[in-house]
Amino acid sequence: MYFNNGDWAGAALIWIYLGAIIQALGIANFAHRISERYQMVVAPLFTLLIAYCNNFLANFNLIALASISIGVAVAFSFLSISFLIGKRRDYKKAWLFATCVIMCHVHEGIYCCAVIFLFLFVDCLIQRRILLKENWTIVFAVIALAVVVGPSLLTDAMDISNVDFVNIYASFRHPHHLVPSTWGTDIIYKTIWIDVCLFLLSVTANAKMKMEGQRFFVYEAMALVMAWIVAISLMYGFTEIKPIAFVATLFLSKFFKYVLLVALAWNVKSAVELREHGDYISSYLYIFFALFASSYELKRIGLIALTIFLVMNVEDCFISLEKTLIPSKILLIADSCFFIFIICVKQETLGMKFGSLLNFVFSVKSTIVGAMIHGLEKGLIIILVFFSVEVIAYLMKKSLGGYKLLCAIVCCWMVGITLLGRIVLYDNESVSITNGERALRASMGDDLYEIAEDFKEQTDITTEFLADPDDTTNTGWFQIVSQRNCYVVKKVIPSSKSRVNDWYNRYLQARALHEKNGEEIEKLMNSAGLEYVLIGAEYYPILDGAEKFSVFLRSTTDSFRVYRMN
Amino acid sequence: MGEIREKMSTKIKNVDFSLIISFIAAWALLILFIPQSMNNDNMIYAIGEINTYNSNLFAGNVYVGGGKIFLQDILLTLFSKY
Repeated sequence: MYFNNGDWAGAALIWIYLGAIIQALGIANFAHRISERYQMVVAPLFTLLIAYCNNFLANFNLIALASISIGVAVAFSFLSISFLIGKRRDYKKAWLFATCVIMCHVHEGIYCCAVIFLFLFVDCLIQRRILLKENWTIVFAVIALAVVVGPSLLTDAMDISNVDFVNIYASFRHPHHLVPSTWGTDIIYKTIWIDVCLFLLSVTANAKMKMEGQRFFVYEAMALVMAWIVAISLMYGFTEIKPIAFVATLFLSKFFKYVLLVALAWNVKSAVELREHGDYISSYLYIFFALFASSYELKRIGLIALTIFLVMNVEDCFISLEKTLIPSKILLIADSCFFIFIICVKQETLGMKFGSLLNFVFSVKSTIVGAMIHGLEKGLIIILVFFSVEVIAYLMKKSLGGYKLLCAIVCCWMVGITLLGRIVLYDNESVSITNGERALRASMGDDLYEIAEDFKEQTDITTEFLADPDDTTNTGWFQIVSQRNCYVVKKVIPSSKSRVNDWYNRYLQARALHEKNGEEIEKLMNSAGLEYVLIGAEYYPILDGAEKFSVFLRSTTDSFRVYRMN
Repeated sequence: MGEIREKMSTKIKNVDFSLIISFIAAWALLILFIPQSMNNDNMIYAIGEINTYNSNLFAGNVYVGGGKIFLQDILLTLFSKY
């Protein structure tokens, strides 16, 4: 912000795109360590797997780039955990990048370190020695953790009971992240079940191909699944049965996505190894299962069981037939068809109506038509990317120079298409680059953005205003653009435990603002020492009839007004 | 000069071309999953970041006050200063 003249939104965009670069490095490293031969195919495939696989619990995804600090932290986690994949693990680099994760976001840091620690624990057990020399960089992670967590543990005192704090912080504000009973048993069982299946598939593939280090896979998978179960048990126990503030604020649910990340990485690795082994159908099925298992409902367990049975037994049943089923001469076409299939078919359509060729044809058609209509959007881009990658891989065998040239062209083309319409904008015959203001206007609308700017110009820096605390988008962004304090916004919970009670009491006073009459709003504003209130068009009559309120500002299309209390 | 050129040439030859392509492919695809509008999660941290940049802004905001958490989120400080 310092180099950006205080433009928060502009600086935010830079951090978001920086996160994308770090996460892409992590994915490229994953791909490189999974298979040097197929890394160019593995990188986009793994990116799409983490983006499209829906096996997430507690609303924490593996791509969180839109969120500034979490996005960069998750990106560094990818980079860190990628060094644990493959034959030669590099714990030193893993701990170093985990240190970066801790500095970006303490929760992500803790769970990234937990994954590395579990790998290390199993490694030490199997090798029957403590791997000190290979892990000396853990010192940096420990110091970072102490520096980041220490001060807040020592100074941030809570002035309410554990039960009250957990009720406000977990049950009221973050039930979707912190209260397991609100997620539903179906999704909880399904999530761990799919993770277990992905691990089982990898272990089976390793056993079938007689790969080295089978014991590592088994013990690590067991350790990760056990840790998953411990995490959810602690969450349930200490938020719902015996509430403890410290456990609630640990956000143990963030750990779940890291188990899935390892499971997906192993799944892709197994798929690639099966392919190198000549088991093409099995290889496709592994990826198919990772992508679409989460779109089934748990009650359709018969279908899931059938799929997993097919996947796990296909090597046994078809291994002798596979090479005749998909001859290597038509592998290029088979790959292309498979990638189009997994990208184009909507997950829910496939989950509900699996087996319908007509659905598949229609979804391919609608995706391509949709992509053409809405500009070069992701459906078309992804299809073309995979075609290109496959064509390049094919040509690679013919001419190395031609292959490199084609790679460069495809890269330029991909980057060009990605940048166009997102970073480089073409409006009214002029080319411009996206900026923070555009992103903010897209979030809150031009009308609200402009009235927020006017409010900033016409009020003092200490001015505080009232607005509907439940209207997160409008109230929250108005506060940021106008740079004036809002009395309370539901989403913006204090980072300090000692302020949570104050924030909650403010919320109780201001909630259901539009159900209050003019006198009640006046009373609330008097007690809080406020002068201004922001409201949307449908609620103008409440204040138009009140004597003490006059319109201070109105937006261009009069969809928002700021009233002043006289 | 010739030696340096030779070293440079060897370095360029040793660059893993596939790794670069993998990185660009992953980056280009990841960008597609970033929404063009600003995510609402950012409005929470924004108050702390703007306040760290200029302590007069959002002074007294319910998000900012309370316990001393000056080192809790180093990124917040890095973000505001640079």
